[in-house]
Amino acid sequence: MDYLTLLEATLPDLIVVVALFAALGVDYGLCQGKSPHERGRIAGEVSSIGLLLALCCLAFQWMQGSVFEIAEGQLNLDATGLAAKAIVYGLTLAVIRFATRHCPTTHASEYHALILLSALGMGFLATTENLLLAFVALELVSLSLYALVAFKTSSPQSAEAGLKYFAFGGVASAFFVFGVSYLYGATGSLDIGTWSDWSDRSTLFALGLVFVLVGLGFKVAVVPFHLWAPDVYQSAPTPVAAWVASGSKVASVFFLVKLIAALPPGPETATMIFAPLATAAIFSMLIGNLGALRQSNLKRLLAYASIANGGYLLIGLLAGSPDGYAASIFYVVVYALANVGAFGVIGLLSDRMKGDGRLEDFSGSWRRHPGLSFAFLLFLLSSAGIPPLAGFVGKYYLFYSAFDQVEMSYVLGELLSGRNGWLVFLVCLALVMSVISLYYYVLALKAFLVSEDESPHLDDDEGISPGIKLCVFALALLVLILGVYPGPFMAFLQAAF
Amino acid sequence: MTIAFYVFASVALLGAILAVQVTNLVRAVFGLLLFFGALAGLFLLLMAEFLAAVQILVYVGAVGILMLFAIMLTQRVTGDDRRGGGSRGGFWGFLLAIATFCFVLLPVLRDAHLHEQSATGASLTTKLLGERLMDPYALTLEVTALLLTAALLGAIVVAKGTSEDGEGEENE
Amino acid sequence: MIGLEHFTILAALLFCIGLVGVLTRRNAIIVLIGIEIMLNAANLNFIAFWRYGENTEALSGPLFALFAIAVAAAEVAVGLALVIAVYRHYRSVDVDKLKSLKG
Repeated sequence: MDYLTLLEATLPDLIVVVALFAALGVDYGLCQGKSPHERGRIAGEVSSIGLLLALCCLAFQWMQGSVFEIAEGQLNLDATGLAAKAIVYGLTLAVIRFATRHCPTTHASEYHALILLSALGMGFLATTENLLLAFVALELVSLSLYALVAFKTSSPQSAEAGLKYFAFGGVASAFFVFGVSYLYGATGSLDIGTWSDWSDRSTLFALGLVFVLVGLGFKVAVVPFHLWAPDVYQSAPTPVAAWVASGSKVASVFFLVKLIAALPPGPETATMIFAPLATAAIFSMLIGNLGALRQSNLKRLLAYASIANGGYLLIGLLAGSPDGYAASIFYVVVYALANVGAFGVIGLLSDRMKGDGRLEDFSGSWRRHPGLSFAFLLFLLSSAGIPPLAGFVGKYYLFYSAFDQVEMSYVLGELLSGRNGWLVFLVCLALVMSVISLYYYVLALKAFLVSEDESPHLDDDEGISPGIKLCVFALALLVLILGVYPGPFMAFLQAAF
Repeated sequence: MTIAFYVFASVALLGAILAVQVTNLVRAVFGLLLFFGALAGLFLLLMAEFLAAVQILVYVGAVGILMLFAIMLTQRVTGDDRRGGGSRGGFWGFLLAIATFCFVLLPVLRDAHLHEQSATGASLTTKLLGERLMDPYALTLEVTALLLTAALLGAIVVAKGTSEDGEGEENE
Repeated sequence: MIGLEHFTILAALLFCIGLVGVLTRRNAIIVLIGIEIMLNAANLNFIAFWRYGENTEALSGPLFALFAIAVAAAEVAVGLALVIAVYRHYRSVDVDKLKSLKG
């Protein structure tokens, strides 16, 4: 192998690696005796610089039209791959900015270093086509996130959520490995790129695929592997919750789409995973939306909403067309932008206070933080799917791609049987559920925007640096732009399949 | 070969069952060590000597000791776990596990080619493994290094949980 | 000569024993042990499929098993750290007693 190519292909990642060790080194070497807040700020600056450099490097590679392929499908960095990495690192940058405001422990530099490590794992997961590298990257993401969730070492709930996350995640990764072992047994290869020229469809292959989907379903928090989500979102440090909800989801969906798009063509493969996926989608939408209705804690509410969103984006995968895959990725990216923003605002308003994130803790935010509250409004309305925001366009693409696959027929029986029936039912359910979701989103917004009295748990402006505000508004702007002008990005995604 | 397989297989099963069913945690870990050892034996039968050695070194050596330490830190030295050792949702858990088992067994029953395949003569040479590790899988090796870094950092911070955490937060 | 199906059946059995441990026991350490058993069962599969497969020169199976062993060791370290963190707060590692989070 040509190590120089490897170096060139992983240059952005190497910059991030250097940044994370620099953050640790500066903290250990130069910052002893400073306050944890100050140390967190410095580590955050170092990490941000590293990420910015990595993003510049990615942009440079993109402009040069570089295409890197590392042996056995380990990395496949074409334009889409580079874009995937850029999205992950961009989200990381936002999360790092939010994390600089308040460090949950005295271990300030480790906090940022672990966020960067998980970002690296997500970058590799989103761009690999090799099951071995996917497994190692997935574990890199998971192990960093387990530790990050439990990072509030003074809080029992945080440790508890970490252990729960670990127990579910460990079982999921065991399923993933076992599934990969079956896939390896059936195909004799770890490169999913070789699947297309392999025709023998055995039960071994189908079962392996189902087990691998279980492992990824956990990451995307799809029912029935969603049980960890509410606890983790509620108890983790808020920037980490934002990170779990966005980065790890985006990376897993990128890999999931690759996996499904790589399936050997033919009706057998489509049918063998269709019913399980469709069932998971239906229950995710039901349990996510109905569960969110009875939450009084804002973070738990968003957790259930994220389960529901996992259900929506499966619709694109079920459509099984290039448009559907592109729609799923578009949706998850838009969702991640809005969620990082929403959790970011929640963290800024409440992390340093004693409140634990109940809805009424945020009442009257619009008086003290008009700008942030307005951004929060955009993020939530986008998630709810209100035009002209990006979430609406994402849902539109998803449902359209599903309807596109329905073979039109004027006989109602034919229209509603088999795969057609599933798709029609899924889209109708998703539409009904989107309307229901409006209720709890408006409930959350009511606390922020309507309530007259100010909650005592609301933080003040102190310490919210212009950089953090810029981040929030950039995210809000992106949500708006992708809503008004989604064409180019969608076309770019569609070109990849 | 046949006898050796059945001996190792039954020891592995016995060890695994002990590990998940015994109330005394220290005994459970010893069951687990037995399981790891028997698995190393099976790796030997499959001509993967190097992996058998790694299995012994990493699992029996490191993982087992780590678990014993954790038990002694959390359960006092005996590791007797009568209070928390009972089972939970036993019936449904069993049912789900058995359902999974039937599911997992499907390919063995249905795929004819599994029965036809015979072992190839190749054996696993450490040299070849090392070359493969450096040649196509160098990137994966590097990502594994990052993973170990993450595990190290994460485990230290989470386990350490400094007592002055509370004060640290007040200082800000 | 032992056939491939012997190894896959054994691996399936071991996987499910691990799953029983995870699903039915309340002690967090036993849950961790169950996860380890499941990962090892997968490793057995990898080696067996490699040995009985066609493309033995590529060594993909043993390589995966090797990486899985390394990753599993790291996972145990993080898992036990979490167990200790929970124990510090609750003086118990019983997953059923951890009920402060609800909804």
